[in-house]
Amino acid sequence: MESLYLSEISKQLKKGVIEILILSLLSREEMYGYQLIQELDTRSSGVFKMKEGTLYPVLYRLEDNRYIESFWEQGHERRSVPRKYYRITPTGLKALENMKQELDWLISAIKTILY
Amino acid sequence: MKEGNDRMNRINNYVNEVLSYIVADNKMKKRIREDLTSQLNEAARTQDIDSVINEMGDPKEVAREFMDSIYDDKSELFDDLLSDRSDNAIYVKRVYEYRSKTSVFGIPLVHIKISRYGRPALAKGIIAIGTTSLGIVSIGAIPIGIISVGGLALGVIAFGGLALGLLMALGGVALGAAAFGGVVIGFGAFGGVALGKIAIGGVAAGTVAIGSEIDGEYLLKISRITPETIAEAAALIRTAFPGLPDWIVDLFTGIIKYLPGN
Repeated sequence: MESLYLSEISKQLKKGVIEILILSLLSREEMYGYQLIQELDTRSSGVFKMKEGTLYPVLYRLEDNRYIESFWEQGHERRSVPRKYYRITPTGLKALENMKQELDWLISAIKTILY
Repeated sequence: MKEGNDRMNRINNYVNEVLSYIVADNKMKKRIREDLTSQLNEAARTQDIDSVINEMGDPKEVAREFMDSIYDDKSELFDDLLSDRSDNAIYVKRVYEYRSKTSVFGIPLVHIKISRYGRPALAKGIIAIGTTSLGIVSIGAIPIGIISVGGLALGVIAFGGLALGLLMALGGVALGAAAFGGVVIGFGAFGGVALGKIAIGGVAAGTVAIGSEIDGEYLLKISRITPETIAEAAALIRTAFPGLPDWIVDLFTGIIKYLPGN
């Protein structure tokens, strides 16, 4: 019961920061969905192991808010199929900076209470 | 090549199954289709497609995750499910429906309702598109409206396989004040087989009959169209209907040159 409760907290916390993590990754380079899933998994040592059903709706929300935009690109490899890439927009970059500041402020407040 | 096609078929079938469990508008479904297809293709570069699909998991579960994230605020999901109060979620899958938010006197500007399995579906809007449709502009299998386009079209102006138009009808079989098409009946009828007060066609029967095979009161047999025959036709129509406005006479004589074989 206790672990289930903790797992729910963890789920909610992850949900709260996923947008900022995606924006941050896309601020470094444009990526396709599968690449984002792999990057989040690898860079977080498996903490952010995202399912496609969770990732893509977040991408759609970011796209609807004009923080990111998608485009298709045909790979150069033989018999390759086009990839759908996502890239951050100038509005997204500004939003990312604001989000980072808010997150810092939040983490520092949490730390003050906890420790 | 065959292997590539098999892989694409497997991917399409899997994505279709996932989408069949998702309640969302078409724009959202299109996005999900694109991304899932793209992701499966990407993963299949390094693994065989069976492993990739197995790894992604049960289509129902994948759909559940999408739904859970899309409808973060669950009230939106309920709104979508309840948007058509007379139907349930299964019916939603069988009928495509779009109703524009803009309405005129309570009637949606655009209403599209198309049944997939021959189930009755009536679209009602200023512009109505549906299996059966009722609107100012109506498009569908059985459209009824001011301007109707479709299989069995009824309207003031109707275009269709079987077109019944109060003012004008154009179709395989057309009935209207002015009728154009294969087999036509009207005050003015122009077509392969034409019956009317003014009938112009391959086979024409009417008060005025102009064409190759003719029967009626004022007759003009035409084997070749020349400016003279057009002038003769105009004179004949004016003799039969002296009060007819010039533009109607011009309309009918103007299309004589389109008679087959000329």
